[in-house]
Amino acid sequence: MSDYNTRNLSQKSDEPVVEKDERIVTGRINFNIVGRKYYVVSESSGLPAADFLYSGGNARGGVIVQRDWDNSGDIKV
Amino acid sequence: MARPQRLELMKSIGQKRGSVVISYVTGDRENVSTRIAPDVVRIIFRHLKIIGSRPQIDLFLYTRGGDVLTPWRLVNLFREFTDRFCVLVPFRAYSAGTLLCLGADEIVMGKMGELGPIDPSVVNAFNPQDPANACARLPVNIEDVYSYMALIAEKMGIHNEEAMARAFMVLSEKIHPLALGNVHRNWMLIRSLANKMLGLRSGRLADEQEQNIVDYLTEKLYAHNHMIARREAVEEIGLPVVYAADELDDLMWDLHEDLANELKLRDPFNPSDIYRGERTEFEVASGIVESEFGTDYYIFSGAVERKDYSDGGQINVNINKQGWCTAI
Repeated sequence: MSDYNTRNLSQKSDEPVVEKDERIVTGRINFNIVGRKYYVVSESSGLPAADFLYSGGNARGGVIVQRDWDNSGDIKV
Repeated sequence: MARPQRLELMKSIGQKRGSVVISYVTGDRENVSTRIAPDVVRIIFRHLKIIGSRPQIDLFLYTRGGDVLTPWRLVNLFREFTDRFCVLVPFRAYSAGTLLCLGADEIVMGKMGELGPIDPSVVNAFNPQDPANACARLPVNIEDVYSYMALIAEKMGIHNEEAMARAFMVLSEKIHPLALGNVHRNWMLIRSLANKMLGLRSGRLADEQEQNIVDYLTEKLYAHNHMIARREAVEEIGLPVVYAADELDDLMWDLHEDLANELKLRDPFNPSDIYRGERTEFEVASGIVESEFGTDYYIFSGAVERKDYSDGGQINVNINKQGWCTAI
């Protein structure tokens, strides 16, 4: 099996094994892709104005669209 | 099994076929899926450069689809290194995967092999806003738009221009006109791409057969999740599909099962399972390109954090990095 297959990076090999947290999560699981690229398109031209890293808030004068068409990752957030 | 066992399977398949085999899997593991996208072109090029020119190259493919433009680039790339390019389909090769198959000289399907329609949904800036996420846009299925107009004309028997114009006005009130323009552009694009892909084959099919294939895969199956088995592919659609002989089929299935186990495709990625302590960093692989000369994984790296509230807890998963990584 590959080293990459769901590797827990927080657990060092020479450290004592930390038990799995068995508390039941009754709330939701939130997926967030940090550093995901977005771009703004203006209503008048329809063309991407600029790529940028979006961390919240609103961009004025355009629509914010995720820029993920060139990426194999397909996580729904 | 691990890479050495997979290499034996790939070599056995290659010996039976007189080819060299490259495996490409886009994972459909729940919560960490991947798709066909342009970033894989450079990865496959790395393998092809090492393999060099060969009389025949077989692509062992498992995918639920992805970007519709990437197959065109990929098949052209494969053809830079071989005169005979074939695709092996042990199980799923849907949507963009099926489009990729159209450019192959031979599509080898096992008993479990499945192709799918190529009627994509499109998203652009002017698509309707997702009510659950202000940043996101809802996809519009191309054939749904054309089916709406066909419904008005054929089923309701409305043929006069004024009524059709009114029906179109209703549609454009719900979907931005530029989104509808994008739908039409993609309607033409997918047909053009399918025709161009069939044109890459070394033995051209008859024009009528090509047209039948394009019509079937784009509009005549009526459901995007229709699963095309090999009998339907050959007898009804007229695709250049070859049935894998039993021994080859067994090898293909064993290789598929090994890759599926490697990527844990049948086990949902549940962050709760890897959570230890306050914050747990992780890496998970969800795509693979492999040949006898190397292995590349598509890796999601991130951290799992738990937040506890009076009404229960919640888990936050931050994906900090994602991309193809060379393992060997």
